[in-house]
Amino acid sequence: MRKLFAAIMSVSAVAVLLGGVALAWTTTASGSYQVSAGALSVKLVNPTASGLLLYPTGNPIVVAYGNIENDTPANPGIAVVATGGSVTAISDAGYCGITDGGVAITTGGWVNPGGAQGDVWQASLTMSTAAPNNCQNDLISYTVNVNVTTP
Amino acid sequence: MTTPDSSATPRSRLRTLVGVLASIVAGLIIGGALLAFVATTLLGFRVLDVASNSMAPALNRGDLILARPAPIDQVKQGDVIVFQEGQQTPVLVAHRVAAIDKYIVNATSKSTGETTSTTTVVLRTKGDANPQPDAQAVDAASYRGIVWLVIPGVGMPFLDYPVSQLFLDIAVITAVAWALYELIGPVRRRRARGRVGPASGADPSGG
Repeated sequence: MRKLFAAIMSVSAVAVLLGGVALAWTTTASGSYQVSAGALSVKLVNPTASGLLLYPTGNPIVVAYGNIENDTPANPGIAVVATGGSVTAISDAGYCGITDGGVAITTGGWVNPGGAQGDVWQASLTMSTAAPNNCQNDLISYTVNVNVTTP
Repeated sequence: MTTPDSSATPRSRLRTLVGVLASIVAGLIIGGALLAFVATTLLGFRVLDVASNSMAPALNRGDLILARPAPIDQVKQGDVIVFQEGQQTPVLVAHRVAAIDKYIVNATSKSTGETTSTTTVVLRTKGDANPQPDAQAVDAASYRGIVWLVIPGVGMPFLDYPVSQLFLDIAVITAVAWALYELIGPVRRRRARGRVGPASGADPSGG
């Protein structure tokens, strides 16, 4: 009986090992978000949905805003300037007639290096005046692209 | 003469069968509990109880759910995810992803012409039974994983007890129980043999 128990425990141990390896394999992150190129290290922080409802006005409505953080080390470091961007609605764009309302740079867009931040961008979407009524309250997936460059 | 032998054989067979089944059950419990311990301790799996009907009928109060860790950029619209809500008294919530927002910054160096792109993903969620989406968006810091397995109606009232510790305790208790069984069993059999020894020894000569 002890041999049987030992055998089953061995099988269990192997199963735990194989299972652990399999689970670890399936849970491994597939790469980093950040792509390194050149000396710049810049990211968007605290992107915040504005909570404003999109109405069929045909005018841009701010859907999200946030900061740019310039992680490029200081001394001397490299400042960046936000130059604009684009917003692409992923879901319901055709049905609700949602188009790019643009990315506005609100505070001059200059971001110093060494972890400095600034409220520099606002992303907007525009809903067509012909959009059906039930587009209201619909959650829209979108991608915001903010472009920055060295001065 | 043959009667005692034939009555002993089924009993010993039964004992062997019980021992085999107990070995298998104990092995599976210990192995399963250890795997669950490893998964919840080292690999970021989460086990939680559904506490409300905000996701009904997909998830009902009292269901047990297992969430697996996955990078936030692998989450798809329609997935049910687990995330942390609240900072002061954080609770884990399982709601469906209604929208996925991606924020990409493209930083171009004029001198080299190279562009660095960094993506931040933010999920917006909604309970299936709720009329409105959740007010708070889910970012990478509050996101915990994708719901992987649902066991209906098996809510565990003792989930306040640390889950990983619970699995380890189950494995240890089962192992100890089995060890006691292994220690006590031979002693009992030896005693039993000691009691019947002289009689059985007299049997052949007596026949």
